[in-house]
Amino acid sequence: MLEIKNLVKRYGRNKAVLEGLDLKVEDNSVVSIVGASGAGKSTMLRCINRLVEPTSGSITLNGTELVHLKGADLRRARRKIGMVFQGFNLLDRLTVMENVLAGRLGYVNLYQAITRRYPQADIERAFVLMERVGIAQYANKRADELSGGERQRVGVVRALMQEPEVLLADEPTASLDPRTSEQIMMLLQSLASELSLPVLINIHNVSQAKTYTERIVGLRHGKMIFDGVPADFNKDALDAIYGGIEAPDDATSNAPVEERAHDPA
Amino acid sequence: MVDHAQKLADHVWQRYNAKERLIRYAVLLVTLMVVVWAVRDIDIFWPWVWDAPNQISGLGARMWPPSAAGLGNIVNALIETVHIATLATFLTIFLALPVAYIAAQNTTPNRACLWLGRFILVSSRSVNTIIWALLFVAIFGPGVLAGILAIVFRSIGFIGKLMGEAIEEIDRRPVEAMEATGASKAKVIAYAIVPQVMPAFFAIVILRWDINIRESTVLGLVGAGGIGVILQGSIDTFAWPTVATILLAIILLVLIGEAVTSLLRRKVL
Repeated sequence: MLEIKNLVKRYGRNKAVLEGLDLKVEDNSVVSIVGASGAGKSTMLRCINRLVEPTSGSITLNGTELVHLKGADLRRARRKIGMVFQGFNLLDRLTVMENVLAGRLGYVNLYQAITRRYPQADIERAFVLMERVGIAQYANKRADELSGGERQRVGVVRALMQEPEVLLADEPTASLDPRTSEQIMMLLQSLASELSLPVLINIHNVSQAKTYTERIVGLRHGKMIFDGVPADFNKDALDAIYGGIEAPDDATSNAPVEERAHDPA
Repeated sequence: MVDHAQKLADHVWQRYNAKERLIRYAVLLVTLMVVVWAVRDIDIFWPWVWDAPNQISGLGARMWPPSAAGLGNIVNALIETVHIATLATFLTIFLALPVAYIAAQNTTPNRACLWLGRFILVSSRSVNTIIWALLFVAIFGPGVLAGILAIVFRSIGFIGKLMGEAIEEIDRRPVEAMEATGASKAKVIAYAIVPQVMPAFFAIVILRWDINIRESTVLGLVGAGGIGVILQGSIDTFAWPTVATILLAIILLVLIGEAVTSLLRRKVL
């Protein structure tokens, strides 16, 4: 179970990006986080695995407090948090297999990592997962020779190689074409139930969020303003989350009147 | 404004306006003045300049035909020259890479290391190989060791600076992904940074090896080993036919070096 309590993130002296966020995710559930650019979705996800340092608050994963971990403890905790990225973040010049095995870097020692002598169990797990998502035939290809959808599958398998207790996906489909992004969403959904793994997905595409996840969390200006099942996510919720975002400073600009009419404020 | 509009209407177009033209003439004038000042100040003894064609033909006559005597010595010295360049380049790799790592903005552990790294790179580069060689000949005595160290100390700045820039240009995203897996710093470097800078590394090292071959041909002039030692010796004893042979041999060596490095570059990249 992942539990976030009163999470605050402030960059320098600016206005807080996250203003006291609370979120509880039970095991085996897929949660999508929606919100306009700059709402704090990405920051929230990165606070969980501490790629971004939270300013204050508490994040616990299965009872372990993550916010104050340092050094080796932090690395040990990160092994249990898989992450899938918008830009795939693969090691382009390395092979698909090397990319996948990189998910084990937190478990193997430096010598094994550099000489690529991974334990046989890891290699077997890699093949099983690659077969599951349909990229096993590319094991010895360079990662940059694959198509977008295939590359994201490599990213997913790399995250799963960590044997994670939670999977974070930061706009995993935003760089993909509509059809491929549906496939990736379906994959994340089925993997979550197969591995009984909580999955948090930042996503822009509201209809995909409604189709493939069982819970939607809406963020706006660092605050949670919606939390419920897709059926409850109606026009009002959508307006509350995205409304008026296109013209945030229209009070000072001379935007046409008909555009201002959409602003709920 | 009206004038401007009029010009547009008449399709008159000039690249520079009056002020810009004035500035351009002023820059030209200042440049010419500096050149004239420099030529007057360095005190050239003009009769020697007018005598140069005679001297060239005289020297040419004394050098021709190049002497084949001592060819064995020359070849040995050339091989020694290449050895100096190769060993020095190899040694430099181990010294320059840590410096590159701490001198790159995105990998340096802290500000102090960043400035230390940059200080090492700048001091290495601002001293010419020959000056380094003079220094090391004074410390270790004449010989190959002084030559190797001189080239190493000059090359650290070159390889370190270019590798540092290569590190600064890497894509940050794989680094982030590797950190997210719980990998230690060393593993992040091995997986996310090293593969990205590998092509630059080979290109830079091959280029520096090529430069080092050329630099090591002159080291002998200050007693730091290589072909330059016998070149200096031949000049001192007015053995002009031998000097000619050595100069031809150096040109040949540089050409071979050029060919080998361009071949390597094609193979590696």
